[in-house]
Amino acid sequence: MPADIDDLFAALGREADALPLPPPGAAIRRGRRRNRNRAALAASAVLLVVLAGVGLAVRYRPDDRTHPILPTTQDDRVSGMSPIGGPVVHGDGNDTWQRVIEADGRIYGVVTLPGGGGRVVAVDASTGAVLWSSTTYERLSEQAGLVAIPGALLVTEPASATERTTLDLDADTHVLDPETGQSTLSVAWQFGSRWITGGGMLVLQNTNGALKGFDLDDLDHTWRVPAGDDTPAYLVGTDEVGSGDLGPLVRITDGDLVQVTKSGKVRVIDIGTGKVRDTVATGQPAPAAAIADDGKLLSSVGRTLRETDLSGDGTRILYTAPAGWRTGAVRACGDGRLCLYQYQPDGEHTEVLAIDATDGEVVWRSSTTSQAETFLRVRGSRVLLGGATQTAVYDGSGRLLFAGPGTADWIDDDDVLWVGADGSVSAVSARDGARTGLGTVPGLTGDCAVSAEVLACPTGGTLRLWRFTH
Amino acid sequence: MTMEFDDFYRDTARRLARYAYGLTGDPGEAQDLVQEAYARAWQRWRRVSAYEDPEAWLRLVVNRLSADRWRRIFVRRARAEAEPPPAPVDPPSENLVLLVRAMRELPDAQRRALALHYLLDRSIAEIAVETGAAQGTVKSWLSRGRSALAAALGDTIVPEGARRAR
Repeated sequence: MPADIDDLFAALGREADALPLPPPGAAIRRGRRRNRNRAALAASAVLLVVLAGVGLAVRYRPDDRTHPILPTTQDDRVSGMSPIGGPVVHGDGNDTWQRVIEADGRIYGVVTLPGGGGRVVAVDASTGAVLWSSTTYERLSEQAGLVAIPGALLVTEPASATERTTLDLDADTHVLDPETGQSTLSVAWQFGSRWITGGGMLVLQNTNGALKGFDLDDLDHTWRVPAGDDTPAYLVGTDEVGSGDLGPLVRITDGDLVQVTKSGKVRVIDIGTGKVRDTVATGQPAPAAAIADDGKLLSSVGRTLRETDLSGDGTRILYTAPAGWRTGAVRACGDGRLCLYQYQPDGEHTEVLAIDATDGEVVWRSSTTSQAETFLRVRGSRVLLGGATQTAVYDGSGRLLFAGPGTADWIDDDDVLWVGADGSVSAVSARDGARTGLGTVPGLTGDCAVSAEVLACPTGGTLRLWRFTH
Repeated sequence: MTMEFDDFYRDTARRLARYAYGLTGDPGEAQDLVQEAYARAWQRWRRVSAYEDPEAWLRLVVNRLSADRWRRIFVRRARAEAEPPPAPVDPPSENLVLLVRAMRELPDAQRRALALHYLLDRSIAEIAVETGAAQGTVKSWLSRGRSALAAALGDTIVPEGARRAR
């Protein structure tokens, strides 16, 4: 006898009601575990933007488009900050704090020593207490790269002591245990190499395209994929973390490792084993920027944004910029939308826009005076577009909430931290653009680190920490 | 914080399981998604608890996770590594297997609208608010979804008339 659709759904509901669900503690444990991993990953993500000697460690976080931002019942915007303990000093006070990052409730910093070289120091972000200080790395300088990934700290120093100011040098990356500061692995790499991490693995792609994977839990477990004739040109993650002047960007993936070769082939590789799962021909040159999202590769090629289905269903042009323009970085931004920027190569004009992820139709577009864009960060559907001269915040409808000189990064979904060239620190609400002065940090000697709770800034011989108040 | 979260979980988890089951049609995956959504809520509980409708936030997370093949794989992998498998459940009836199979073939928007309407008893107006779509669009989703289910289920289902208009 035919069933009524109501009856069928009622039966489906009863089936669902019979599903065993664990107590809330199981979700809490999973959340705690994810906090340990994701905080280490997220808060360490640093892309350096230098502004006349003052900066903010601008973080890239793994794509969090899964977490929507909804209307709230209270206004708990950041309204101030209070010091955490006193200034933190390392050694006899003559050591200089340089780059700092925050991960998993800790501040990790590089301190340089008066006689040369430097150390990595871990500080409890809630108390300011020094937890450990690493061995001395002879070539560690203010250019050091420092990145936290789940289960490891990566510190990078030049391979030779020769003073260099550009990125075109070889380097050594040391993998440190974040609990102790002990070095567990040292890897030599060349300019042009690429890193990617995910699933407890750290993978180095050499300049010739060969891959070597390291299991961070068992460093005896490694895998290699030799270079092929078709040199990999691009290593794709869902996001990336930076590491200062010296260090490479480290791509992040929560799935497979995806390589794009110079001829445009996409290789999907199991990051745990190095086994090639799939090869997809895209028929397009290597992209200038790309992310993997929802089983698709989104890549900026010339003035187009292209979407390649990694299951082999082909490539399509999702969006085409006007003639004379090029597309830049792209990020998922809200439900079914992608945000990207497009620019004229002469640097005259830049626009940020949101497009429909299914048909590429422009949802909103806004001109920006920011040039030489270096990062595009989204929280929900809100956009932070930063460049060498200024940073701008847009709401989910493309309305410019705030723009100005300085560097900026998200504190949380609703608040953006702004650091001016004079060391002034303020919070900008991503709801209405209102700016609240938080104070001034004089004498900055490196990039500050920011999390939802804490701001940490190096000021010469001291490290200073503040807790945000709401 | 833990007490407040515990209460919220106990009040809402069963409804979220219904929703997740409706979207995925897979008991194990629904259990996974529910746990993952609450884990993410716990991670940012101060903010989520301040939302006017925290339960809607959970549904959006489940919605997005269920539509994201890569994350689904990742969630399962992470769960398998860190937690015991969820308790087994009895196999569904033949009619439900057909319904679930038909639901899986629907576009995400239609499947979501049907799950909200039939499993969580949400009105067209409420679905419109939650999805950000016009009420006419929601009606269209429901109508098309029911038609597609009817076509897929064939003789299994009573032809749809004007039903549950609210």
